[in-house]
Amino acid sequence: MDYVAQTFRDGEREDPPTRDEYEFGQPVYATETVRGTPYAVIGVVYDTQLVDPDQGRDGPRLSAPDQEMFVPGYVNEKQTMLGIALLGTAELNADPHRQSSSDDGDDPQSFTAVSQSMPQWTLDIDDFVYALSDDGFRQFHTYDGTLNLEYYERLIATAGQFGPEVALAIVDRLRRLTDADAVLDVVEKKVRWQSSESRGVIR
Amino acid sequence: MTSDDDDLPSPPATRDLPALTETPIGTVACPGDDPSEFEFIAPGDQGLRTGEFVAYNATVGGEQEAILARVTNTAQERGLPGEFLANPDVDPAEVAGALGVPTEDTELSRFTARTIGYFDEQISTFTNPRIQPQPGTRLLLAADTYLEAVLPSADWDSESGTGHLGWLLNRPHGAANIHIPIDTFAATHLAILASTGSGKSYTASVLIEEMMRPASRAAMLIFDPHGEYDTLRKMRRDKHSHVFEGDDGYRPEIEIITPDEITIPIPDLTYSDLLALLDGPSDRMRYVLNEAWRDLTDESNHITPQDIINKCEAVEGERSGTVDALAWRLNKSLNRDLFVPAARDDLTDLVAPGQVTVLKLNRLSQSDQQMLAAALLRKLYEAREAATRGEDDAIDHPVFSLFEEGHRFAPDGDARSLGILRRILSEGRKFGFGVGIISQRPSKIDPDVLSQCGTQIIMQIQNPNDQQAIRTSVESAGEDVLDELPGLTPGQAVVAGDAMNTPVLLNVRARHTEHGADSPEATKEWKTAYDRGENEPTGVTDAYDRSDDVDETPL
Repeated sequence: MDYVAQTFRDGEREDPPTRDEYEFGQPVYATETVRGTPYAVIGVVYDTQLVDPDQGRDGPRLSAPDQEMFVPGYVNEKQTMLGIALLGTAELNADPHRQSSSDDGDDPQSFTAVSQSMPQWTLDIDDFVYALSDDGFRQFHTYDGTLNLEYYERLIATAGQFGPEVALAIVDRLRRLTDADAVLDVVEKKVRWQSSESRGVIR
Repeated sequence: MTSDDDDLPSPPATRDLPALTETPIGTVACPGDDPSEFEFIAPGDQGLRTGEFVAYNATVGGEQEAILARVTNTAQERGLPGEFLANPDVDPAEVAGALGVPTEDTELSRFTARTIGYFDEQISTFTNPRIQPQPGTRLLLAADTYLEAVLPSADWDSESGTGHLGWLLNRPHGAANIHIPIDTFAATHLAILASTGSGKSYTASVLIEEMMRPASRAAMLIFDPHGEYDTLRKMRRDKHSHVFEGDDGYRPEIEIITPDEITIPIPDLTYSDLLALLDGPSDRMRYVLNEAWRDLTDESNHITPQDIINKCEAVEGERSGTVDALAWRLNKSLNRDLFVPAARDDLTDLVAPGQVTVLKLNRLSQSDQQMLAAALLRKLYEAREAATRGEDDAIDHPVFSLFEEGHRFAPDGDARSLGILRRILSEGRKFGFGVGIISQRPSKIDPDVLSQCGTQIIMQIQNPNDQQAIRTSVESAGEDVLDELPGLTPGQAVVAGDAMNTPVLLNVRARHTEHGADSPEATKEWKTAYDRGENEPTGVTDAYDRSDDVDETPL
């Protein structure tokens, strides 16, 4: 349920993602085809880690700055890793390849058979993770006409210390996308109270 | 309000009935605070209420017994967290649904139940096994028919009359009917206690109806200070009259005695009654009166106020100031239509089997009401004593006397009628003289009188003093039952005491006859009275305003 994705950096992709595309609380998805049915496996960014293999090696470099990429042993291995908690799955109506070929985020994603229970299949190494559009995010949460955050408990457990914050980020995003403000207010109050209580701020 | 259907449920015929239904209620969790209490857990949506009877099977002395228990308290064991209730406009279930919390079967309730025991055929009441049910024991709903049979302390095999008072409060209309044994409360007395408007006189009328039915044919005397019991007449004539008809042609007699017809025979008074009637008599007057009264009552059963005055003169020797003062006082007190010279020699017109006599006391002062009750009760009680001893058979049947506004007749303090009432309540059982006290102020009733009433029908009571009076005077009313009193609504009652094996909450049945004590509709009556005043033909009024227009020639 708890995956780590590596963001593309400059040079690895024609149009690598910008910081605001993998921000904290950003909904993401990967596509999987199971028994012929295309699925979107939906998750949320809840953690970020910066990896620098050069950490601690402050000595001189042999390569010149303009030769960086061509010197063996001097590949830039600095990475931004994203912690992703899976929220659920949805059957994809549209052609997944068309979906996957577009990473601008506003391509209409059409979900059917949304499930916020635990995804039954794993993702694969080298699977691509895409930012989920607002529309897809809204569909994922309002599939039967009412607001659903059934993954809430699992998310809080998976996201650990950032559970309440990621939940609040989702609430904020949903407040913008849906008209379930009243319920979201109550949920927000609950999350805030619970986290303040568990962190010992209030008793 | 009268009952629309004439369904007359039959009293149970036997106690040999299955005690348990197939309806599981909950599971025993742990022992309670009290040795006869235990706690059980049940889903919150069962609608299980306090006062409900549940049961479980247990082995007592090698025998399988159904142990009955009464639910006394409810608490939430588990439910939606308070945070879900943050906004009153948002249904907590909606929040729970959004967060994926299952809302079905969310509520779990923890109930406290008090063990009543199993029904012991040998002693005809409940025996508490004094063992706690094991945690995990399955509780079932007690069967309606079983409760009907075991709750009242009645002997169903005998021919004794029972009164259908209503049905168990927590069960559907008429599902578990409660028939209380009339013999029991007629012998060991009855108290009907409730705050005003809770249905005291309604319940009393239901009892009267039951006591006047062919199976019982009671001899009843009702002291009615408000004239509420006129409607009992309908037992003979409205559409429900067949309820009261016996196969042998029996129909109850209803004798309503109006204030004009009520008299107190002077010879039925005692010296102390007489003294109580007089304004501040001096010691000398007391002495003269005592002497005169003793002589008079020995001589005759026909005494006029003048007879007493003459006798006083005879005692005193000559006409003195004392006698004059006595004469003035006696004339003032006794020269009223209420007092008659002839002793009441026949009581059978007042009390007879199958007859209910209502004494309408609504125009008598409280002290006159007490005087009348004292004189009449003394006479009746003496007659019953004589009949029991075989000396006189004037009243050769038990008598049941009902006192509406009982605190007037047996107040906590002093009243003419208190002494004889206390005596009847403590000794009347031997002589077949039962008393029913109806009151809205238990705290104002003499505690001895209240504690002698063996059966209690208690309805809604909110006044803490009155609750305390019940707590201290009524043995059978346990705390858990008393806790129910403030929450009862009109028509709901707790029945406890000698007539029941355990206190029971019930819905009082609808009367067969009309109710006579509804509150007047003030606004409607004001409006009617106002309209009447407005619409009076003013022309005629004006015509008489001028005195010269009035023809005063005698016709």
